[in-house]
Amino acid sequence: MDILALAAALEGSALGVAARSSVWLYPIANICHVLGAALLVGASATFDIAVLRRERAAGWVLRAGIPVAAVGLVIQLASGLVLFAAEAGPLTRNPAFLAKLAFIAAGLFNILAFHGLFGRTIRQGPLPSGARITAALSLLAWTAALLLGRTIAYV
Amino acid sequence: MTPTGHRRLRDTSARTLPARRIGAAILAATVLTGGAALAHHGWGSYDTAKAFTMTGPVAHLEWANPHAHLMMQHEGATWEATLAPLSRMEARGLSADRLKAGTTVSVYGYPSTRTPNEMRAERITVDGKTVELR
Repeated sequence: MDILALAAALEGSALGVAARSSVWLYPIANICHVLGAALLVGASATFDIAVLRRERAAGWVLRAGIPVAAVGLVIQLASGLVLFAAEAGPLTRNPAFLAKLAFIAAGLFNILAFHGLFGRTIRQGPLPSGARITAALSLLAWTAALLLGRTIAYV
Repeated sequence: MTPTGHRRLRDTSARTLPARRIGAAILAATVLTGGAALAHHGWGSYDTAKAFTMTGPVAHLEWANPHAHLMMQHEGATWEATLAPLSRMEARGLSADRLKAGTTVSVYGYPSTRTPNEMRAERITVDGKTVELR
């Protein structure tokens, strides 16, 4: 099944119907999507900036930030599914939405790359300078995803 | 921040000030973005200089989030009027029942500059009652 057929199926599903016909499901998902973005992007950016500034406490910032970012990510996936189901068809043709998905994919891949490359080092001491590249990529990917998300409504 | 507060911050923790500034900037950006997400959008692609009113029976009503739509005839063409989110209209006393197909309505709004025969409704009058949609 191709992606467009999948989107059409989701739009016609019980979730899609509920997202459009329920008075409050869509607004509540939309409101939660703002909170999730704040938690995910805020926690990630705090760590990324700590790494970019070569903070010695970056490891501590990471430990404190992971639960916050993880809660944010879960909120985003759940609320985003509702928002997407409401109008999946048109969204698959929206350039801002497609670009947002690309940056989310880059952000998630970057998390894997960071933990694969530096996951061990972060617990032992100062991070190698390569970590600043993943931090910069993370900052770019999540900021772009957030801004493009808000742009969907205008293009 | 007051000058006094600023000085106190600098005196006690000069080394962490840039981090705090960055944090404050992120917080401000997050709050601003969040606020924008709750505000209304999409009015930029409608021509307010060409505001007009359509009056006639509702041909078809789509009572759905994120915006309801209704179709009606206007000057020999089928027009689609984009209304407000359901929660706002219900809060203002407008329900799907009151806009059933066949009901005569009067919709004041602006034509889209992108989609032909699409109007963004500013207000709608039905049964002598006017409901603001913005």
